[in-house]
Amino acid sequence: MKVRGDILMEAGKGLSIQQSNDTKRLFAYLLLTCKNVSLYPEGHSISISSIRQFYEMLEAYIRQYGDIRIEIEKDRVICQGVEVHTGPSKEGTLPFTLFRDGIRWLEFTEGIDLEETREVLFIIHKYSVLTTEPEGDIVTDFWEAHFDHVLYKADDFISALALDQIDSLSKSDTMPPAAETEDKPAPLGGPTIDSASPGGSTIDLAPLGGPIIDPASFVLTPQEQNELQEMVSREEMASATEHLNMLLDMLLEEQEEKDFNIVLEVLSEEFEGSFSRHDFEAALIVLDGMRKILDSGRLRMPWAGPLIESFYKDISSDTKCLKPLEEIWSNLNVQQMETLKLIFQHLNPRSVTTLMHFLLLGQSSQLEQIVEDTIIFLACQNISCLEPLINDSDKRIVEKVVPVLSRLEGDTSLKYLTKLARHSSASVRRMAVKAIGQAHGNQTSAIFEFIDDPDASVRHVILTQMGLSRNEIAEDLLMQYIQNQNFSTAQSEHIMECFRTMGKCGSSRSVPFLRKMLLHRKWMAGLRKSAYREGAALALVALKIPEARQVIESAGRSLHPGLRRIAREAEREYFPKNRGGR
Amino acid sequence: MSERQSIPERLGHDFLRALYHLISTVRVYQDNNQLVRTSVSSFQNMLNELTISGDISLSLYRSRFHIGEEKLRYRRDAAIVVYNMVELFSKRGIGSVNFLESSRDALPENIITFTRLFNDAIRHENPHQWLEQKLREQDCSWVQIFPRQDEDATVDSESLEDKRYEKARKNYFLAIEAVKEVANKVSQGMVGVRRSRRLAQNIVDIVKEDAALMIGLTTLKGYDDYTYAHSVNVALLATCLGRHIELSDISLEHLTICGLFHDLGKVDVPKNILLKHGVLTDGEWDLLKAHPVMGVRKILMLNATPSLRSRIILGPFEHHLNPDMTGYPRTLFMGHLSLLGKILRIADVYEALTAERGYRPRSFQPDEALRMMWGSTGKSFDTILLKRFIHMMGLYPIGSIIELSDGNIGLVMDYPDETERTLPLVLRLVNDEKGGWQRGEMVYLADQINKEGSSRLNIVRGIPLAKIRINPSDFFLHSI
Repeated sequence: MKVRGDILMEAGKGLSIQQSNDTKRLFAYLLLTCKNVSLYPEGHSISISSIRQFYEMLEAYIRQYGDIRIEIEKDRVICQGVEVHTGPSKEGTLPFTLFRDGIRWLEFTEGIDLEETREVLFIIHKYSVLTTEPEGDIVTDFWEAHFDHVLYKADDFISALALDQIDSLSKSDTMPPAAETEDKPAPLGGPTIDSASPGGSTIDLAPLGGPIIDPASFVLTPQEQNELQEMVSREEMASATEHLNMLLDMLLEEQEEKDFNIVLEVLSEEFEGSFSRHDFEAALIVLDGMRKILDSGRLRMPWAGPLIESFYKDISSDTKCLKPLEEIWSNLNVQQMETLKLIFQHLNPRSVTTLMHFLLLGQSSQLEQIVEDTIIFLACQNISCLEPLINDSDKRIVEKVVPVLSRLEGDTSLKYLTKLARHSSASVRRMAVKAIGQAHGNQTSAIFEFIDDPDASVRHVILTQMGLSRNEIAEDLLMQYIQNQNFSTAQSEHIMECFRTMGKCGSSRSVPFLRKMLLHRKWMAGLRKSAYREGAALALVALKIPEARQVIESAGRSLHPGLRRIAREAEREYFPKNRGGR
Repeated sequence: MSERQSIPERLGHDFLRALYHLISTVRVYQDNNQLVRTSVSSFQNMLNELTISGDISLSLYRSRFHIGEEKLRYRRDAAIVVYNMVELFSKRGIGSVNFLESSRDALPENIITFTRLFNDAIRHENPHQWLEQKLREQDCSWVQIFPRQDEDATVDSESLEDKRYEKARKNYFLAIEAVKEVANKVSQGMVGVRRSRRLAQNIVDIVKEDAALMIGLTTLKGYDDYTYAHSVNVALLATCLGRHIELSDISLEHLTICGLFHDLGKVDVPKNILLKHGVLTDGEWDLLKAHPVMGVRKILMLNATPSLRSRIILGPFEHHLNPDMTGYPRTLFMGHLSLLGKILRIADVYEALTAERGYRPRSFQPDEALRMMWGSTGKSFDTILLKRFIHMMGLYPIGSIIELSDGNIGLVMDYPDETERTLPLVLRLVNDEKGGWQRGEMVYLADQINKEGSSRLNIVRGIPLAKIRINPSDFFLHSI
């Protein structure tokens, strides 16, 4: 009986059972799609496929039956005359949201495309939960969207706002009083009248009574017409930066701290927004402007400076400034890089941590250079900002800190490098000692502290550094080291390298020591004796001085065959290359 | 009446226009005037076309004209004709005019006779009865007159135009309330812009439909709190100018909001300063000059998206700045004014000049205000935009009280022709001898041009509003 009743009911509305069922199914899928859009973030596959499926169903429906209108009542929704929903709607659901905002009907018409469908659904979702003081609603956004294939009728949501109120307002209209001095002539000589001002003014207006406007004079010339079109076009493009200059001008005007803070907060939001939409030019306007204000000394109040400083600190945070960069980091163009370079100069040293992470993302050498330069610039302001990085557990980060420290001057950077020379990672230690040796003048003693590093490559770097030039300190240190250290046989390579380095950095002062080492080896213990002789011979060769050659020649005349062999090998190495001597 | 085919919409409007021109021409000229002969001929041609299948009736029902059984749809370009024809019918108590098939045989003299009688009927106590009787006496049997039905009178307010007037009026007062609410609440906490946006969108819709109505509304100068009414008036004028230069709907919405909020900062300026007679002290002047910044600060505190916020703060900040950036507030960073700011500047000054203010003896007439502004164009206003503003407003702007060359007083109602901005549609005002003024007939000055190109009816001068004590807006808003 019920089925029959339904059939009759639908038939009465002029719809076939098939259309009635299709209508119900379409509406049900609309509800489901709205739910999916609200449950999943934008761009989620479920949300995307749900919208697409709904669109396909809608498009097929319209193709078969024509446009579809959804009428929304308080506890009922009707589609094409078919009641598709009854009963109170829960907040957040489609019927509730549409009814709340005063949508009386919504119509999808032939030609609707996927993009329009998506936008409708997103607008509905955007306002599914309305705050107490909303910035808009479905109607405001539908109005702005100017849909080509979505029609709607909306109640005036303010109509319930008491027409009585309007009537009472109307009644308060008073007849303009007849001016007592109505015949008094207006002031001549150009009245100075400002809309804001009863007294002073900024507008010099023409005298009363003239000039008579010639109707022809307010016709636009062709050039003026073009200018007007340009003005309109510019306005329609809605520059994202013009208002920023205005906000900066406002800052200069504010005299109360709380008012100043209101503008500052907005500028901070604007900065954040421009960064997230990758509009770096806009971000730079804010930063340059703020700096200009700060430097110009035009700020009227003493509290303003610290507030701006704290602004810089605030915008240097991860979330506000640098995080949004990650997503386009590898796709930045040259112009953007140049702008970023200027922006980075305004950052606070606290942003160094994040910038350092950028160095791990992989980028062009130009960008890497920009970031590294920025870090150095910021570290020069406050080198302690590097401390967290030095202690970072990620070896890759610490490795990036070393070149930075190597470009910084001062005791603190040396202190940090020395600390890194004891890092658990051999590569870090190697880089650190190299940096100490290269960048900080005569740091021979400092790097020699690490001569017993367990890693051969580190030791090699130390000795290379020491052997770069003649250096008495290095010479003495090595002499003492070789003389006093009890080397094991496993260290023969190391001792050889020490001798070779000694030859490179040493002088005639070393010759007696080396002679003794080569020719009188009785006191030697531990390491194989021939290793010391060989080392001494290497050192003597490397010294490249006549005194050293004489010692080698003496060894060549020795009765000991092993010593003669060593001397021969050393001479072979010496003569072909140093025929002239030194 | 024989069954007839549907009448094309254009034909219906053309017929109404031909009849209106006939009535207007005959009222002014002698029978042998060329203009009269031309309008009779045009009317007859239309009538012949319409009566080809039988009688045709022109009826007024619920303030909408019907030709035959079909309602004439609203068309912007025909609005003035429809408006005037409604007036002509209503004042004579006529509900319907039935042109019989035999009208095809009517001579031009018969047509003129009918038209003269139609015009003259207004001077008689019972116009409809008088006209019926005279038509019988003059043997005008080809035309029948039927009185207006009572129910038609009672449902007038439901007409399309009245609905629009009502909507405009409602939005006007709601806009005042919205500005007031924002001004009062924003300092106490976050206020959303939803309501203001909806109102702005409604205003844009109405301006697009009937800008003249909105300009007429701005003559509402007597509202008790001037700052709020001023803000709404500025919003309306600015939106009309924006529409006139073909800004997009969204830009118009933003411009309207700019207008509504441009003087929010004045709420914090003590009334004794705003209304002070005489010269302000330096301190008072400083406070007054701070109002654009104070206003923008309030806008910044509204709950609006950053993109909307960025578009509605510039205008209010700039509305006291000259094109060369002099004026106030002082600027260091801004190099030029935005378009919305320039528009607001013009609307703001015009509105302020034409408003009744306590600190000056009288407000300026709209035409005086335009002349004063034109005198400082370039220096205080953008010349191109001021030109467009004057073009939009007309030399005697809508709402101006004017003296006509025939000695009558009139109210400028509209400039129906987009290209002709010197010859307005004027509502004659009739002194009711009790100190008040009643609506007279509507005269379109463009129709008063004779074939030699000179006008038989001119505007002699503008008349100070205070002199005749009317509220022009009453004549724009039927139901107030």
